[in-house]
Amino acid sequence: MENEFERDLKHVISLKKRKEAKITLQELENSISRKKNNPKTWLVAASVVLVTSFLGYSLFFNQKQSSEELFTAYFEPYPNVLEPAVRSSMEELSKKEIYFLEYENKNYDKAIKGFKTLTTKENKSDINFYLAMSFLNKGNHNEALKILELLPEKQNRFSSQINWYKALIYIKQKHFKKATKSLDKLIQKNQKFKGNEALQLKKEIE
Amino acid sequence: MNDSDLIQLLKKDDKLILKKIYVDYRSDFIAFGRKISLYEDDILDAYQDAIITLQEQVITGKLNTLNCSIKTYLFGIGKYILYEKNRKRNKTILSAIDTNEITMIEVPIFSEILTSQQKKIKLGFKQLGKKCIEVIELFYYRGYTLEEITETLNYENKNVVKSQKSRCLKKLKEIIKSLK
Repeated sequence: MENEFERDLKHVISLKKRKEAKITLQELENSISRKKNNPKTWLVAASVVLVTSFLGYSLFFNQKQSSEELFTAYFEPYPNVLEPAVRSSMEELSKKEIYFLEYENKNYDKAIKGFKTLTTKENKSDINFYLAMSFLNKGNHNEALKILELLPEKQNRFSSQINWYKALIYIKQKHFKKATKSLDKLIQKNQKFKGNEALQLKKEIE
Repeated sequence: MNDSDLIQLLKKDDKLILKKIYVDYRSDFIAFGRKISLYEDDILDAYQDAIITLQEQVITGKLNTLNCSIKTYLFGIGKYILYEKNRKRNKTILSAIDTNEITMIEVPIFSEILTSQQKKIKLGFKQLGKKCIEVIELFYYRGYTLEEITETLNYENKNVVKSQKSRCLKKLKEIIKSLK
């Protein structure tokens, strides 16, 4: 049963979500209005808005995107789901929580340094996955790929994620066959993580 | 992409699809809105709110399938919001007959007025960590079950999610208490 506190919380979250969506639409409206008020640049602006706003939806516009654009459209940093820190003071946090906090706060160099000290036989593939993510998020795609390619895919809770990010890096490097192979593995598992996006992305590179 | 694909993407809280819908029907809605309102700002505001309401209904599971097109549904909500705006301005409808083809869809007009407790929750919620916000939003806003959250956020099992959720709620209550 939902209590009053939970009802209030729900209301507050709905309001927050509404405001976020409103800002998105108002910004879009401003860009459309600016475009209309400046007819000379209308065509240029229109193409920019179409390409950038709907990156990833090129099917609507029947145009192929470059590998760089595809990577940008589909890439988003993977969140920290292993070690969420809920304690309030830094003193209370374990080393592992601190390194993951650095990851959350986008201090990837510190996170990389920390993750390298953490690996044990038991957690090796989990920590190495986040090590790869840290390299990827800071733009070091080659190093990230090296680690991802070494990670076992069987019996790995991040196997879908490994295939997804490998596919994105392969696309960036224009290795489309390898990318398709990784996407196929992800699609075959029929997992919820990026399943639809994988299908869509596969169509884009075919 | 058909309407049911659009609904599935809206359900995922997809910002790009929100923008696509906005651009697709914007001109038609402005022309439609001009039959009801004299105020351009009201028309755009109503259109934005109609899209946001549509997405909210889909995300919160209040709307899963449509008996009409997305466009008709959206215009139905927009029509209601514009009528409400006119009512507040004490204005009569310009040419109601011209908009008869669109059935008005009554939706709750969102109030931005918060009680003092809700204001505290709002302040406290902002101070929570990213993981807490994620779990609480999925559970309370999107109505996910613990199993669905486990799968979506890749947690180890539903018990981890359950304790994470209660730790986060406890922390939120502590923050709120400290605000008093």
